[in-house]
Amino acid sequence: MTTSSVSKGCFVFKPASKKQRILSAGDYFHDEDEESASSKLRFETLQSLWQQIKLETDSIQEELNKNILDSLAEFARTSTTFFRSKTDEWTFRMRSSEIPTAALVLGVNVTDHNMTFQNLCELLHQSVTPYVVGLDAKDCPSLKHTLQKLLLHLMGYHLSVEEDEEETQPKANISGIPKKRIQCSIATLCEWYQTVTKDSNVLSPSKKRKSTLGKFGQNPPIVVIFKDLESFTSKVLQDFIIICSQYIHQLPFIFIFGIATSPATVHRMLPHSVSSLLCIELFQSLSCTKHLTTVMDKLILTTSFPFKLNGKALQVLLSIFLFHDFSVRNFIKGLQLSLMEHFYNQPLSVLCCDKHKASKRAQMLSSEECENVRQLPSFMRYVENQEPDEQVKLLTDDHHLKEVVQQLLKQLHLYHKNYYPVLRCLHVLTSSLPKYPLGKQIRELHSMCLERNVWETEEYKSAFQLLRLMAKDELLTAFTKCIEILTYAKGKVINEVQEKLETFVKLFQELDNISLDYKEDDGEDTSPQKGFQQKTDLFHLQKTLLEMKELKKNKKLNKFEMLRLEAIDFIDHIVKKHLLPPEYLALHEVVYYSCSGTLRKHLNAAPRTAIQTALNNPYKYLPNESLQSDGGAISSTAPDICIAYKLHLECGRLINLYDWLEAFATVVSATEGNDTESPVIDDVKHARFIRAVSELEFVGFVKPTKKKTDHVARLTWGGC
Amino acid sequence: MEVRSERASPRKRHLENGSKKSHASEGEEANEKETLPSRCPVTARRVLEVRFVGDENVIDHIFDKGEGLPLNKTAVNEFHPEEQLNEELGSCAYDEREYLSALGTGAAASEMAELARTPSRNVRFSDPHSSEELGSPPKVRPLLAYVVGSSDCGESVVEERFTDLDFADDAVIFAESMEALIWVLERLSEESECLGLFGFSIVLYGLGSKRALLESFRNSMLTNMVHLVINGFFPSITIKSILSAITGDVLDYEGSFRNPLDQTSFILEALKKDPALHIFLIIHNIDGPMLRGEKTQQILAQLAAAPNLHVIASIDHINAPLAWDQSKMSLFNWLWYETTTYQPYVEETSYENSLLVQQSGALALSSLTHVMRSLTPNARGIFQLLAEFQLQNKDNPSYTDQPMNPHPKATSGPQKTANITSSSSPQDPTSS
Repeated sequence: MTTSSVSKGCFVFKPASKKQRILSAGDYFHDEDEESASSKLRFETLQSLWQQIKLETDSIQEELNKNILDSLAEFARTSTTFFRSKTDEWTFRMRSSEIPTAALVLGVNVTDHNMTFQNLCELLHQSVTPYVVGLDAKDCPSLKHTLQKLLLHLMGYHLSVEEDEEETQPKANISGIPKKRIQCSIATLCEWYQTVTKDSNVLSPSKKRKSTLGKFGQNPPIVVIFKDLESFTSKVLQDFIIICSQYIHQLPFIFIFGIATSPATVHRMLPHSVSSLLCIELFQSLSCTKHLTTVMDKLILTTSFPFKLNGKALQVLLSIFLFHDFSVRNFIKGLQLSLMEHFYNQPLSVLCCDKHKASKRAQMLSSEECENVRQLPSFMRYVENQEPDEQVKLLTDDHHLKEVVQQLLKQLHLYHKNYYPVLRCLHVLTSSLPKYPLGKQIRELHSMCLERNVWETEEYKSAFQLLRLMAKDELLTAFTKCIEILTYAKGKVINEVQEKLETFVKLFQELDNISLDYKEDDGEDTSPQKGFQQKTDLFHLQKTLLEMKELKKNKKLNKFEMLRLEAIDFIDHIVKKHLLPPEYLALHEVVYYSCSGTLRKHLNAAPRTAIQTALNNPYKYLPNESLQSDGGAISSTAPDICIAYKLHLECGRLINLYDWLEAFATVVSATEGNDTESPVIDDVKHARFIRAVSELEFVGFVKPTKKKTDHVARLTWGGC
Repeated sequence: MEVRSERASPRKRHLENGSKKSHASEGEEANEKETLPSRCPVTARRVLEVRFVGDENVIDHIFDKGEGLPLNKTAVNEFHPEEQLNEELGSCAYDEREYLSALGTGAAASEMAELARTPSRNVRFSDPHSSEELGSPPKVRPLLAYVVGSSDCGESVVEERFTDLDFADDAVIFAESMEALIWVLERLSEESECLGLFGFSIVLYGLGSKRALLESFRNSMLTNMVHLVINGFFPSITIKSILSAITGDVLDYEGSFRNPLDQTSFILEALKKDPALHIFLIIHNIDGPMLRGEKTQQILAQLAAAPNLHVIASIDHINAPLAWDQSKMSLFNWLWYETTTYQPYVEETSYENSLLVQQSGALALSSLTHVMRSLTPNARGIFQLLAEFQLQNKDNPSYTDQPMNPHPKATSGPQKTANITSSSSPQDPTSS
């Protein structure tokens, strides 16, 4: 069956056999040169890992949103009680027409908001009111639609947009209103609300509502959530608010505005006359960078997930987050993609699981997989460093290899176990330094450590210089924090480090007791400083400064300074020992995903650049010598569309088709070796030109214009 | 036989005349250019020639019919010198044969698709001589061959004869690189299959038609799956037709819907109920003029967000990504694949929205194709005679266009339509 037709644009294909093969993504994990068992295993690992990640992120999200959601629910509750309080109260009358409104500032990462709203709806549903309506701007192009959507949600009716449409029939009859045509108006809603609330007191056929309503008291509020306030038309919003405020006595409305930019939007969208009808309270949700930090903490800087990203891949994901969308969801999507790519492309990813499983699986490696192991660059490096006997054994004996692989995997695991606590300690120590030489966030430090030997960088050196000048109080607090971190982590090495740090802290504290000696020591130092303050002329200043320098050089370090130096050197030593980049470890390819280019290509593509490069420089895609153009020359062997494109770049806003054709023919006939001055525009060239132009139009570079006959308009800027 | 050769010879004569005449007319043209400030007649001519190009179907048809014709020796003799010329021109800096063999390996799958689609075409290609013997006028033949050869570029190996011509067309030159490209793209599609099942949608971008690629992907990977192919470039596609195809043909639901939104929610509901059902949407040009609208994209995005509905789309327009805002992007969950194929946009530009066809709203070109197909051989002959007559007199100012089309559809059209018919018909060699 063909898929091109002049009368149809949509073709359906159904498999011939009725029984559709139930497909699982695992089927696609086969490689010809591999046993299906291991690929299946790989796929299962992938799935379980992904499930784990998903659960983790969900719980993180929930936790982070808990505060704000609780406060919102509280807000809704108090507003309701306010509504229920005595009507003759003076304050109530004052504010009678005001609708309690929560302005929820969520940040620009719109894609993450849905989750928040879902949670919010659930929470409100459970604890405050059964009547929660979420409105999307895309469903509410007009007031009519908005009301329809609102009523639809609340009353469970199927309403038509046209009020006077005859066929409008209520689908269900839940709330006890007799079957009749429903008008989309707040009055209808009012009527309905009264019935429902009355029903909740008296026994009525509405069984479902009754039980739920009992929980929420007599007059549960109607919560309307405007999910994306910025996208609403301000006219619709204004009208809606004015109408609702008219009914506030009968209908206890509560509004929640989801705001992506800033609270000032409310005032920009609503004139004073309308916004004065609202009683707005501001809620600020957690910033997305904090969210990301938590996610990184739980998913990446942990040993509980065997899968890791290497420095570049992580950098790609982070830069997409920071420079493009601030969306944690997209970050996790990127993580998911890298996970999938890793398990799909790396046959040895079967070993990418927790320690015990990994060693079990290592024992069951097939001979082919053993061969794969031998071909890993990191393993080859490992082999090269072994004794010749061992080398032969590793390269020939599968059994021996498996044992070594197990050992190496264990080493890798140990490395991670030590890496993260040490990384955190280093971050604690350096995150408060002036100018943040090693980054403010732990993720910066992490990606630095992943890429190279961190202690060789300039930033590291300057950070440690600063650390060596740190005051005792700061140092002590940092050390105690480090100890705290290390106590959470278990392991022999880490415990040793922790003990050592504890002794340092103890020594520092002991210094406190003999600090009196210090002050005496300091007394000597202050005398030249006093003199320096008295004399102000330049010569003396220089002199005293030089003297002070001499003094400093010669001066013996006091006890505190010695201890500080020792402690910092110890930290330096730990860092050098444990924060090696993973590339140095054998078998790191098993757990580290390194194709940063793939990630960038698939997540952060530049379609327009691709098209323009293809047109401008076909050599990039079609490496043929004749296409290598120098400068602005147009190669005559280039694809027609490229020639036409380059010629059109030389034109202004309007392009004369005939001139274009002639230029095209000239360029093209250069190929054919025609030396004639004026090229003959034959049918073939004509056809080729026409096709090139219509393709350019299809791609969006030119369009037909009616301004001038025989001209097309250019749609892009620049060129010549 | 005799009759035919007799008929062929006058045409030859006519063609010779035509070629002479064309020289003359070029002179005239130059004169006109000088005398008349506006280039109207020139444009008209160009339009005449243009109309024909994209219309592959006409040519298909021509060849279908032409196969049955017996050998015409005079014609062969006549073509001989030209072939030599072609060979001379063809032996430029590149080796096309190499390219073609490479293409053959690269595009085996798509060739299969081609065979399945139109078996008759296969016959045509496997015997290029038969089409040579058609007696198509030599002036026209390169053009024809050009169109045919390049339109199926990458689909068939056997058509060597046609691509062996003198045009330095597109990617035809670059053997290895194209092979590599196609190989990479095929690898990609294998992988993308697995990704699609994980809730990602796939979008292909880059210069060149991605139709053949997606078709071969469809044929190799999706034969066992329920899938829809949507031609976004089709000028009268609507979101409603897409949704109805899903509800009607896939979900077997007969009822009607009030609006697309209802329909969408129905589909989503049905998909939720039956998680074992996987539907694949292949959308050629999701940025097509009819699908560009915000609402349409919103609906497609909502569909794509369903866990068991997978979207594989292609985009070509440079501003296509502007159709999606952040929320739509996250619904679609795109994975981008660069697939620069340099394949000509044959199918995509063959519809009326092309630059050089009058924007009349009616499907002039494609309806013409249908009319031509439905004619009996005799009627077609008459049709062609009329068209030729029309063409001969196209530069004659005293000659006014007579309503001479045999089919009411064409005659009812404006004068432009008549021109179109006349321009394409002389290539029709099947006046038996």
